Amino acid sequence: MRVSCLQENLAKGLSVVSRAVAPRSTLAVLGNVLLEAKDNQLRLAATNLDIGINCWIGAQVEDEGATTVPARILAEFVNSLPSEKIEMDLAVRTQTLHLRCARSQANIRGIDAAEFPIIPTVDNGDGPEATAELLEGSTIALETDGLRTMIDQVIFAAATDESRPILTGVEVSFQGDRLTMAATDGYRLSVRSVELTAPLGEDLTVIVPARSLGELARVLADADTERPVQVTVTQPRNQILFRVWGKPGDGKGSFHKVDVVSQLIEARFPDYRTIIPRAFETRTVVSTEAFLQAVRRAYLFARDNANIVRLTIQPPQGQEPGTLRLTATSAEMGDNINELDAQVEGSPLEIAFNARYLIDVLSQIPQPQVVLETTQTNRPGTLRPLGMGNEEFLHVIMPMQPRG
Amino acid sequence: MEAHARQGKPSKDEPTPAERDHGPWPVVGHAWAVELLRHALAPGGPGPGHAYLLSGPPQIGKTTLAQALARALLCREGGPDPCGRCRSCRLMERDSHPDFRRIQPLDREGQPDPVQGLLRADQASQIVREALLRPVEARYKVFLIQEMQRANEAFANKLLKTLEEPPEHVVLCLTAHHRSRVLPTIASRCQHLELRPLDRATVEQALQHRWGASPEQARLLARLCQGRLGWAVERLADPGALETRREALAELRQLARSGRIPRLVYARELATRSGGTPGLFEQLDLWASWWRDVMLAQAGYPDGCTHVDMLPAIQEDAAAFHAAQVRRYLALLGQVKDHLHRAANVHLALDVLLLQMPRPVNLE
Repeated sequence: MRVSCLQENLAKGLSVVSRAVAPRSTLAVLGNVLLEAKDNQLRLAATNLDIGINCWIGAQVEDEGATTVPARILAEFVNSLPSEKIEMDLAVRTQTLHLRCARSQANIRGIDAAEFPIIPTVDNGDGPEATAELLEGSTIALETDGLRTMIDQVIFAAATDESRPILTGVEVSFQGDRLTMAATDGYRLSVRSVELTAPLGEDLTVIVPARSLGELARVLADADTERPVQVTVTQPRNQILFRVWGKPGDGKGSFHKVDVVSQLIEARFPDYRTIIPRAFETRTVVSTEAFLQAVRRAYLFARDNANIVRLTIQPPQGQEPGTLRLTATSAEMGDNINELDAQVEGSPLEIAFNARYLIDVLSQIPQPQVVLETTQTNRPGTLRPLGMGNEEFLHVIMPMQPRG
Repeated sequence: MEAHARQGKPSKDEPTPAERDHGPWPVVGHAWAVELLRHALAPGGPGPGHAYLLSGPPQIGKTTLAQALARALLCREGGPDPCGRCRSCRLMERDSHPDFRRIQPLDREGQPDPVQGLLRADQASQIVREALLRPVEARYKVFLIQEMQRANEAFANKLLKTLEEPPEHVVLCLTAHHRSRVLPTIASRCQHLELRPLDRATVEQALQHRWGASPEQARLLARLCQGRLGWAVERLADPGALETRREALAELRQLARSGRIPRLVYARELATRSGGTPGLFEQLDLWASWWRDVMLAQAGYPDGCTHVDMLPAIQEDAAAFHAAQVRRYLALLGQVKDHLHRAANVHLALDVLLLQMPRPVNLE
């Protein structure tokens, strides 16, 4: 293998794939990043067996070939280099990669590329890569920005502790012309649904680890928003692949395209539809920003007290407008009261929520106003942006039961 | 060293003449177990069980059998036998298949330690989580959990649900020294295969043909290993080990010819050197094997001896000691070992053991 590329592109590519590197795995090769020179592109790949990332960057290939080298040393070395051309040469017999840039050189010892797990890719017209497997399955194109927002609005509700592994996943389902994502940790539920421009053809429901979607959202931040993300689910339904395109032009540190491939979770996602409240007693509309600020202030006092923030909802009385009052008390620190103007319909109510959960959801709502629907002190409440229906955006939060 | 023998059995350099020493799977002996598993995997067969418990003494071939099962399950050719040529088989050869996970007891620093280490709760959580994810390359995902007798309670309990109802693509292989040393809740959820020691001829042949041992080495090791091929292969790779045995036996013969004081000094030394560790039991086993040889020679059956390379010395001792004393001492060795397993006082036990050691007839 003999290949050269620009330092900033290689650094960018390595930063994209490095999130999938598993440095402490029992398989040594998972601490490495795969370099494959082919068709005037350099493919970088890393996997921790949950998630795999392929990233193609522009390169001049003199000799095709592939190897794997330890990700950390390569990334740190490349980052330390000036932004000039890097030349790379592989000594196949010793699997040693020689790098040259400006007046620095390095030899990095690697592991044979044949030991690297196969990360699948989709056919992009120029045939499959030697160490990547071509996928056949159902493919669909999704709008880049929309997908990223959707992921951000859902994944925070997934469980992070591993004691219930299924809940660390997000249920992604393609039903007719709708794409729905749902995540829950047992205390809250986030469901987001959009209409597809073209249906997938067959209905399909898979569970994707929330962590993988988080990595995808991170890659999407650097993507070309003009081109849609291609989503492919493999035939045996063990993997889902997202093909993301880089920004056009050879700007500062860019990639051509990235594949984020995630293993799927094999389990039944709990039927969350049964816990969605069917009706409400009180409907409160407030400014998203003001609500978020108020919860943040209350959180300062609530965080010592199990994050409990009490909401007092008061419908309008005569000339007095409706109000939403947030209170939090800390036995040691003191207390805090915030009052907001609100459009309230229905009966007055006192209900307590976890402040952290309110912050999580409110900070993902870009719309100026939110609707809070509640029934009773001990029944779940729902939150969504004003103007969106439950079928599009749904967030259910279980109330807390403060003692006394 | 130990790790080498555990992993290195399907040796890398010579897979060709090996074919005639094992059947369709790269396993020496244990033919009944191999057949049972092959039958399950064969086309039209019932398919693999979701969990197996392989039990048997250390280094008898449990891990080798589990790895062979994993090879057969992961092989891309999909038959009941691993083809040995596809990508999956090559990756298994190098112990780097992404769908094969080996879980070993760990010490406090997180380093593998099969003897003193423990299988810990976070390892079980990892298995539970990884089992839910679909395999990366193959049709199955195989988890090999070694030394299940070293599992702490939290590990076992966390594993229960996965062990009972793993996803369809998961096969779990547990190994343990004995079924009784595994929690009944675990053992009852597995198909149990109890591996027995290999016979001498099988070990001797395998050592010569697969591991290139000389006929003398093979003959000696086959007798010393008590049917544990892994143990023999480990000694073969480390010539120093046999030398250490010779020295230990020379030391034993010297002790048997010394008076009380040197014996007591030695007992003290032995107790402090190896306070109850497996090394001590190994030494006691070696002593027992020596006195057993002496007894066999006294009974006129030197062919049955283990230490065939030291026959003259055995004959010499057979003449020098009373047969009745030797027999009594062998029984005592067994008793003391038993007591030591139940946490007897090591110092006292060794004092008794050394004072009771037979004395040459002409000294009395």
